[in-house]
Amino acid sequence: MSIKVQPFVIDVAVLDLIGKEFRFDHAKGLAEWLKNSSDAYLREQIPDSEQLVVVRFCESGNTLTRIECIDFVGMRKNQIDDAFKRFFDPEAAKKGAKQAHVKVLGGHGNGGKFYMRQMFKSSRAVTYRDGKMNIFGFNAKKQYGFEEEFEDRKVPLAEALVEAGINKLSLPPEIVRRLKTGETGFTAVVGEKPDKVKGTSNLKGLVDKLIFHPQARRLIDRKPIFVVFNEEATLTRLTAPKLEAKEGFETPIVVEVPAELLHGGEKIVFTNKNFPWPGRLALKTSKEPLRAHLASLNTVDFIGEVGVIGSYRVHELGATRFSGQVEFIYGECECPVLEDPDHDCVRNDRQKLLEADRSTALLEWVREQVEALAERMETKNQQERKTQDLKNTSVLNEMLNRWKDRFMSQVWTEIFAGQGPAGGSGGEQGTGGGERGDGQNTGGTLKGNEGQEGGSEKTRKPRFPQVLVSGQDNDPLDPLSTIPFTCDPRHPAIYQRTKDVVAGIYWINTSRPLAEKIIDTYTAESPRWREYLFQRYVEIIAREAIYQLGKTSATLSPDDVVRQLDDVTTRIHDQAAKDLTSFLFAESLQSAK
Amino acid sequence: MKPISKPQKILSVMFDLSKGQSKPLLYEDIVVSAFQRYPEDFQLRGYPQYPDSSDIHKPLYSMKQDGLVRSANKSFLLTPRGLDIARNLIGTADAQRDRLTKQEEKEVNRIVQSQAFRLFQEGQAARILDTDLYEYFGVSVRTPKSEFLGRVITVEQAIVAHRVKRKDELSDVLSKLHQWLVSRFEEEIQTRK
Repeated sequence: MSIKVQPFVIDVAVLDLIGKEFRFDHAKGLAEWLKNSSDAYLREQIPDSEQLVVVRFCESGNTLTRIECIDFVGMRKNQIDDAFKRFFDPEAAKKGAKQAHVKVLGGHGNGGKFYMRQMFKSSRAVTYRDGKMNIFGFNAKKQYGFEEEFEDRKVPLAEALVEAGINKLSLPPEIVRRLKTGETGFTAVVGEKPDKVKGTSNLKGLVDKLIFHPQARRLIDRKPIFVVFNEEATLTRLTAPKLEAKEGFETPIVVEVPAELLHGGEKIVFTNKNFPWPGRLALKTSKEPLRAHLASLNTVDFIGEVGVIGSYRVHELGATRFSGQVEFIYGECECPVLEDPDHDCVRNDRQKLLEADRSTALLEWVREQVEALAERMETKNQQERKTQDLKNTSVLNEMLNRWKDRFMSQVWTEIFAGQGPAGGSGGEQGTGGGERGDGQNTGGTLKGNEGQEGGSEKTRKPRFPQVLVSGQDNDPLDPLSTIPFTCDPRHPAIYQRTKDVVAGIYWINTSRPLAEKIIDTYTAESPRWREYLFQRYVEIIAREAIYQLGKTSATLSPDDVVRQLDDVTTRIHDQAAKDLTSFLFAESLQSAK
Repeated sequence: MKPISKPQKILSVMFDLSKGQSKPLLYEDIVVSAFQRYPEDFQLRGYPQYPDSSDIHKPLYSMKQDGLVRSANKSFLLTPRGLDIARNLIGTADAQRDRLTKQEEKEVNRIVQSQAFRLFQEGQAARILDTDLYEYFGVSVRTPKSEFLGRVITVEQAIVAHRVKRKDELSDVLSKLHQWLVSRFEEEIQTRK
């Protein structure tokens, strides 16, 4: 169809419609103003260290009466006409830039203006550049325009500063020099009679919200942003909160975003010709739970080419297990392809990503990574709890180890003397077996004949096995271990690794459900727990006896095994009845000793 | 008739001595019987009227590593796999080559009931533990090296036999599980080689 093209006519009511979607609070709106100020410096290529942004709050009694954001760049009238006056211009933030392809924080040219229009009774930008002053703003009817007599009006600097109400601020000499030489000017964006918003009714609450706001937090962290109250002259620097990491998780967990993810049965790709790097997720931990005033930090920010393009509280990523741990986690995710102009996932307000297969798949993947980290934290927590619970168990275990050595030293001589290869647990021998038992056991020392098993290495090991407790004892075969060795709940109650066999080590697996139940219900100081440990020793001694018997015959019958078990367990029980009465029956650990 | 090797001769002698069962035989009985049946193979050099036990010793331990023989305290017995191979040697084995032997069938059934198989089938292979590996091979952490390696070979043979003779979905799963376990627990297996 051939048409005579007309400019679009859009009713101004659309601004009310869209403005409502912004759902501003003052921290969010101020973050928009801070981004605009930051972009003004970026356009002028002024380094971070030479920038200055001042946020001023004025109150009357307990009522917030004015909010201002002041930068020292300034706008010319043409910038107001071309950029400030125009809504929905994606290039608005770049207008007037010295560099053609400057990267700016502002995205769609709306945020700051909508905040001015929606959240104040009236608002204005008082701006000064090249000796000329412009005041442009919104009236109470949300209409905008130049203030009468302040459209490109020639004004001396001193008068302009008074008109903007910033003449009494203590400004750094470099800023004053640039103002005096006319290199730069200033802009004070002023909002009068701000709307009341829950949570920001007092100044402290508002400042806290500002420094925790994901968009503002990064700027506050990197740039000299100051705050001033009422008529004060002295500027106070805003600082972003520094979080101390959780012990054991000091290093951020950095995971590369996969090149493709499966979502709803389809492969979603995170690279293309223009965006070859899929990105990465960095998760960090906080020593303190990120709740109450820190709750807004319990967030994963999505970082675009410049600045945050979306921000999700961890609970907004979806349901996660280990909820007690996820509130210690925060992080940021870079994924350049989210800004692919062909499939842009960035919303106007940069709060949340646009819902699309790509963003949904990424959010789900991030949720999984958060959950995986939370699981690791929970596991560490459990281990620490268990170590604490088991702290008395090492004393009990030492007692049982000593008792076991004495017992085996006596009984092994009686049972196995002259029956075949001696040694705690001999291994493969040469043709027809090895040495005969010498009947001279010495109880837990390295004397006597050491068996070899589970391999051909000739390694010396204790005469009788050493019993250790998982979750309590460090791995003696790992000299660098700093935390207790833990077994899997699915490992047997008595566990050995290949290297444990060679070293004559047994682990009592305290992760077994029954062990955990006894500790949880009766504590590790109860007679029940001591009984449990004793029973594991019975198993270990019986197992050793069966292996010893196995060396004497290539074919053990069930009867052979049962006879051996009967013999050994009878002797163990008889000896325990004599030696371990208080250990097994006394109520308290002290009396057991 | 196809000539048979020395180890095969020992195997057939052990099969006869044990009357086709898995029962322990004294080393000396094996030496004497092998010499009586194959004097030219097992005689002492220079003294053909006497047996040479060293000719038996080495092949016996090699057979042990192949999972054909178990030993303790100078007695030896044929494992189920050893019995299968001996039966084939002397021609009493099941003639149907497209069916799994009883031993192969038993191994596969054991594997199918193992924790490793269950977890692998449920897509939870990452949860398979070292103790599951031992159960899979029908050994324990304390199984002597040669016997362990013998069991590895026996299990591998059963899986290969299943693939050749059955060629069904289970064959595929068994092969994949075996490859996964051997790769995941390579260190565990290598320390015994």
